[in-house]
Amino acid sequence: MIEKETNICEDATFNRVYKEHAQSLRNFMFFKTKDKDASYDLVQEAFLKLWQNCSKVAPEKAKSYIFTIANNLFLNTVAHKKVQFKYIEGVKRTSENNTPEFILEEKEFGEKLKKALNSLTELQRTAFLMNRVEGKKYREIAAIYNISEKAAGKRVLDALEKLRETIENL
Amino acid sequence: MNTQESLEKWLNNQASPADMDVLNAWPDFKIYKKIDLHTKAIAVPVHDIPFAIQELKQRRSFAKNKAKKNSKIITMSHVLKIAAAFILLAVSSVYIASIPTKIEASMAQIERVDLPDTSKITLQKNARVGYKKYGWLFNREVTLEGEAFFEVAKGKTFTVITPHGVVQVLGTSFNVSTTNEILVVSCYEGLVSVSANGLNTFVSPGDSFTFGDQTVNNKVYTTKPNWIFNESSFVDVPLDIVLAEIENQYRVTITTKNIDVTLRYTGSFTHANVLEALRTVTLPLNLSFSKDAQNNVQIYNPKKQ
Repeated sequence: MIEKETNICEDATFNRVYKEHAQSLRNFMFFKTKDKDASYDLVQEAFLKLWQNCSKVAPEKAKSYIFTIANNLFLNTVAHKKVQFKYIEGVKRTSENNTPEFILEEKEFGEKLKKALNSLTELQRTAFLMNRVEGKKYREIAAIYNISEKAAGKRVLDALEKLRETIENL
Repeated sequence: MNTQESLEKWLNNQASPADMDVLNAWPDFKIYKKIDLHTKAIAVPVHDIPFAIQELKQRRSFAKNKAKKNSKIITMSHVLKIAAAFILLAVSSVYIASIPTKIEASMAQIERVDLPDTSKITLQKNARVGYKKYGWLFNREVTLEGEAFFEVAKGKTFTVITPHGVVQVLGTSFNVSTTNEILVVSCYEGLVSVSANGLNTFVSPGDSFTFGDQTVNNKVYTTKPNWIFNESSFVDVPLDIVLAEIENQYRVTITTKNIDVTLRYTGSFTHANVLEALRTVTLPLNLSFSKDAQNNVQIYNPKKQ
């Protein structure tokens, strides 16, 4: 296979790895930090580390390497801001008919969900959002966290149930 | 089939139609679906890959440059911070030490100056001294114009800078006079070194050196100069110098007629009364004087008139 002979130190290989994983890593970091800029920096720092260690990391290991590095960098950033996610504007969050009362109710629900997301543990939230927003399968999440597929599924399911509980109690 | 299992499959996009039937029949599923819909509307930043790759390359070259000096920069910056503080301290103390203190005796009064190390200066009328108050202990240096008596506390070299020469001592009492364009140094205690006329002279206690066109050694017999007791004392000095001293003491203008101003004079004159002073000086030399209301004094030889 050609891939095994390539090296991340080469520009072409590095760029390919970057294109393949940057967005997914950005999402991962964004779900953790809830911060657009902080997540960008974490992605760049992680790739910088990858480049500095390019000779030691095989291209097929690059993904787990950058996810691990970014996660460590995230854990090292002391101040985790208390921020909430934002919704994409103008996107209907319901399939049902829009009466003003209904829209208001939906809006309220949205606010409750944002608060509820903050009540999840960072691991639950990230796993859940990777699953729901990105559509990542349990297998992919398990690979990132280096846990079993079953544990990943459990984490997503736990998150969903915790969200429902929190929303109902708000 | 169990709702939990179906829900788990649904989350993993693996729900079969049978699973969906189970879930749709389950009242709780409604809220889960609602959560799902809202969650999917969360705004996720788009990673601008071409821009980010460019930017990453900049970070790379920056990190590369930084890596070379990294550890040094960190330690240096600490050293520099400390060094900067010391430099600031040193510069400000040098600046403060360089601020001179100037003291001037008034026209008719002797002024006493107490220096920071208990040394004392007694200023003759019209004399002027300058010294650096804050750097005093490091630099005992006084500039002098006019006449002054110094009582120097023991310590580092004490220097008197005059327009006519430099006087250096360790700890003594001595008198320095720079009136009349000549330098007179009289030592009352200790040892004084004078550099004037390109020569270094040691003045011992009881000696009084006049550094003019030539160096003359006279004797002093008191422990303090006479002017301190309000009189001026001279030992074998030319008359014009004595007259200049009278002018200086009394603010009078003295002119001479028919007399030899190089006549030598030994004696004292009081600072209390101008007529008495003129008498003490002229009488021993067989001279006469006249004084008008404008303080013009004429000294003449009555025999030659």
